[in-house]
Amino acid sequence: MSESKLSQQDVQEILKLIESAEHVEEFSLKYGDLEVRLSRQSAPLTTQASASAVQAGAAVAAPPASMSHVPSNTAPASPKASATATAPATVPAGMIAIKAPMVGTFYCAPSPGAPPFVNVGQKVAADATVCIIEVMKLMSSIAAGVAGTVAEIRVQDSEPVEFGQVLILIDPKR
Amino acid sequence: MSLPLRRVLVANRGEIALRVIRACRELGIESIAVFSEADRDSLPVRSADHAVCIGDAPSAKSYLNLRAVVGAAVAFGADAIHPGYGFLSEKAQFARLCEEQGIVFVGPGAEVIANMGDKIAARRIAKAAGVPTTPGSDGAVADRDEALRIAKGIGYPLLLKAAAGGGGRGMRIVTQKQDLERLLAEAMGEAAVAFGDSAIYIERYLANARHIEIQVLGDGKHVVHLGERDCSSQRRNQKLVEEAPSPVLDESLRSRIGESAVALCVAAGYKSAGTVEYILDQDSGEYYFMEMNTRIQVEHPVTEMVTGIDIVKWQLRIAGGEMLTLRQEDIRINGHAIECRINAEDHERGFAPSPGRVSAYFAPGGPGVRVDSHMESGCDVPPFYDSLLAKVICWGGSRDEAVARMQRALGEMRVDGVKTTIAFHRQLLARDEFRMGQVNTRFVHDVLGY
Repeated sequence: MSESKLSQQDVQEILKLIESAEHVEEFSLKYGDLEVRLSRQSAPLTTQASASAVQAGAAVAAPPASMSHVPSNTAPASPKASATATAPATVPAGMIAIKAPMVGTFYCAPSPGAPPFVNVGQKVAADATVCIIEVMKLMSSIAAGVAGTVAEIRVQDSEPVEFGQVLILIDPKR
Repeated sequence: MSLPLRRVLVANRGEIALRVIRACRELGIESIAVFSEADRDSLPVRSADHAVCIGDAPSAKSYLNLRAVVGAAVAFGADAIHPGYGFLSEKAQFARLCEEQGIVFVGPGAEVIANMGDKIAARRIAKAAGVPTTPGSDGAVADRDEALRIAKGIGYPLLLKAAAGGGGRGMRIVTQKQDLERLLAEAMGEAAVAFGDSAIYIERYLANARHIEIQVLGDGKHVVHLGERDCSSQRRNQKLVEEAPSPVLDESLRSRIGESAVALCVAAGYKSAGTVEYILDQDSGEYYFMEMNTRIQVEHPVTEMVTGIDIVKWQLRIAGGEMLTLRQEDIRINGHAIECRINAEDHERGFAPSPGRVSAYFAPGGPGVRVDSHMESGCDVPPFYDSLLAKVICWGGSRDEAVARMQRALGEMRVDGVKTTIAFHRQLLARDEFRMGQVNTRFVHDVLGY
């Protein structure tokens, strides 16, 4: 949309502003092909400011990094366990999780009765479609995002899924 | 009698999400809380029967994302959506999308929302229903010449208001003729930026006004009003304290305003809970229609406390197809109730938002005290949303008792870790002017200096 680019100085200015803000814990900015992601865990601002200019090509922006789903049904106020239909979101070391980029209904095949896009044990390319998520009749194909082998499919066909839910695990080393 | 609604998706967060979930539970309706990543560990999410994450923390990616909210309702089998207040609650497009997807929208239809959401259209409907409106232009003013002509008829001071506006943006007070042209240009520019619509209308400016609003309930055919709330303690058009009944209305004025609100809603074929807002000019005793809010309001508990009527449950019952069984003569106002909005704001720094973590929370209690809040010790106050933490509502047999009870309750309340407006409220409540019921909409600014 915009022709203008952020300069190194702009980025420094932004970093300064964030640093002076008391309550900012996480900050992310996408501007054209520049992506800045900051997080401040404990005390000082860990300026792991990976001001990584993702140049050209498809930025295979893996959906929101490291947001593991912790079903917190330990609350005293909870009359029933939070009945969210999500499987435990533990992602084994070395595995890459494909997460739902939107809330909707998960389909493992292009049409009812058709063979599934992928099966456990199958090798996939990064751009291979692994499933579909439907929101109000709008079908979105979900790509693997990484090459490897399908290690686990965590959702049943036609099951509703929430945003960020782990759908499929890919082993990138196999 | 079994209710047609089985499963309601609550398209909101914070205290109002919890309020709706509680109403659902009392009615035996399942609730689905939808939430953003920032609210994953929040009390409403844990309190609902089901919880579904719909997007990232920023509202535009979650609570304001129509497709995500309605998509979640479809995918997770909700038969209705309660929008709460704010977010999508007054977006006609949202109500329409619900209708298209066969989901019941808990509120009036898309058309009523659209009409009432446009201030100029709403004024026209009010006029047609015989409801007094502030002297002013009937529609958007086209240019300077028209503005000057209308201004001559109304007299100064006058108020320029954005047709699509709210929250004081695109608003200017004009005290003399020579400022009109400049301020009109400013207001139009601001309205264009803020609302994408530069339409401005002109009305008489009332310097000694009280904000009076009438709570209504309608089922599409019958409409009743539940009396008024007085929300005159405001800062920059943001309500701070609300009470019922108003300390300045007498019986005759009360029933006239109430009846005019009912007439307006009957004319609109109004269904669900709504609020008709008026300005009462204390100098002339005249009242004027300002706008209608087609949703549940933050301050609804004040009315619930003095009428004993659960407004949120009635919203759900009406949405489920029930007809209103309340009749106007059944509505009784008992005692007095006051609400203080406890916000995560620093009143000493211009009410700047104060997000962070609530390290300790203790809620007040005892006779006549109701607290609607999603707060708990250790909870986060995310920077992405509005700063309302809790509503403390106190009931008393008299206004004096309610005020004394509120002072007592606010003294008990403890919120550590973030700045809150508790101290501000204690200061306001202690003022003689407040105790005497003499606060107008400019008091907090003019007298307290905020």
